[in-house]
Amino acid sequence: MDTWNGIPIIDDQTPDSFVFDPSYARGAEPRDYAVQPTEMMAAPSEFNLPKPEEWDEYDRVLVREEATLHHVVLRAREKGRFKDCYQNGHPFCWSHSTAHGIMVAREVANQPPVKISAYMLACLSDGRGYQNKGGWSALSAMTAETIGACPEPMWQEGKTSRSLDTPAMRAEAAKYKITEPMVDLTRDVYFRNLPFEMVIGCLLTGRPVMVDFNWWGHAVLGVRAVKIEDGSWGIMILNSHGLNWGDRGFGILRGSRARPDGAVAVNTVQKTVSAVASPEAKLAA
Amino acid sequence: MFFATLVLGGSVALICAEPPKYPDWPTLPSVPDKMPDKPVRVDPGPVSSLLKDQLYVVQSDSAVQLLASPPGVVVVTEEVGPIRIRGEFVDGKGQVETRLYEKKQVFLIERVAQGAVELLMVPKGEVVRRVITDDQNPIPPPKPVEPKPDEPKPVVEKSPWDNAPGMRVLIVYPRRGALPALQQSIVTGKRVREYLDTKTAQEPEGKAYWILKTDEDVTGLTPSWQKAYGTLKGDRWVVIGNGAKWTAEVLPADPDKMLELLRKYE
Repeated sequence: MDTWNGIPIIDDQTPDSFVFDPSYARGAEPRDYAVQPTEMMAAPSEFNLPKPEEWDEYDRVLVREEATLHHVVLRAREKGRFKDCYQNGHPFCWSHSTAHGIMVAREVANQPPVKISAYMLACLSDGRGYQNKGGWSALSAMTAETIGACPEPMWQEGKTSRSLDTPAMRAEAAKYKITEPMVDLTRDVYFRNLPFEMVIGCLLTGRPVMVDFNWWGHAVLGVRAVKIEDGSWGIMILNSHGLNWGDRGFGILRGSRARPDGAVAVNTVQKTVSAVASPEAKLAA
Repeated sequence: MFFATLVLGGSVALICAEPPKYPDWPTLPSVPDKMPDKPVRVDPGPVSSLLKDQLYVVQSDSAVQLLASPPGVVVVTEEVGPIRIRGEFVDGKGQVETRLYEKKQVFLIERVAQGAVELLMVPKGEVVRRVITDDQNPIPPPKPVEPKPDEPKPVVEKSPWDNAPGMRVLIVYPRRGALPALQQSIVTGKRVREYLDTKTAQEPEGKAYWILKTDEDVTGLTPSWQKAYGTLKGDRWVVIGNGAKWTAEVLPADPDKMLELLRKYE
């Protein structure tokens, strides 16, 4: 398998035994536009992002200054400020991508560290979590925008009980909303190749992007635009399969496998001082 | 002092003195220059005429103020470099092209009316003057350098953190825009972040710095941070305080300048 700086590259040549390893759950489903029409999303044209001819310069500077979101996550992990969310056999990749996206956006802002409950997001997204069903990132992102996202002390990893949906939990979740109207990078009014360019532009400007891939049946968080070689760009992803997957949880998608079928960027999240005495906050302090 | 004349839309006479030999002296277009005591008329050409829709670009690595006098003849736009610019340049070949201007400060001068105009550039206390005119109008007298009218000004006189001990820093950047790569490196890069993690005060919720975007809802923050957020109006700025002194100003151009500014408030 090809690698880039020790990080596995997933492309058309990558063995299925790695990509579709049955020991790792996935769970992304094509977006159901009856449930979530395109009009529910903000237009990407409202954002001013780097053009392809500017990518090289961004890459050169961001790599030199260790300023990609990949670097942000690695530093946060070292300081105990970022605890990866783990799917652990459930088909909730599509809510783990959003939970990771909120956590990365909070880290960029230096907000108190919390571990967002991907299971809460799955359960309150059209009830799919309670039914152990798959979904897509925009669905969980919409939940994070309207209801919020609860930190783990109040809704622990692996839990899918309706009894956890309490007024106190909802009040706490409201402090961790995605506040900026989401960027739907796949609105069909745009060119087919635009979503990839928009994802790269978001990543170069420090915006984490939840990306869904129908070919993979999987959703992950895009954290870095990678210049694999001149003229060849890939998306570095943070998976939700733990630190043993790929290189400490990271992999790179290249070529046709890097073209997302769904992509939502987190632009801003609720700015609050954490009211939950989370283990991460205590550790960081 | 540096002084020159350029004719717009007709024959050209250039008057200039040799600029001082600063390593980061502003870079001007390569337009033929003549000594002031020997003004010479030269044939018009693509290099010497600043036509409508052409760009006259000045770039500098040091802090420079650029003023046009009298107003109304040209429009001056300031950008942060490195920046790629597509257009027809005064020292180009008469065609639209894309250029990369690599210095930190880039000024785009575009003609909007016939007439003579003088450009005043003030890097590090030295005055650089360029006069752009035509042979129908006299060279205007130089005007005194004035502060840039669009420089954001603090709207409060007192530190938002009052006299709270320890360093506090607020960085704000465009919510829907893209910072240049070097400024993006202030926001997410290792050097500034490690400095802030090390040097800022410890507050109950963590180290005393926030990196926010414009037009965010900050009502969930403590009152002093809300006050800091409301200190300046602009799309990228930094507020720094240490209990004894404070500042609120435009976000520096790169991590080096940011760290240089931060160290003044340790």
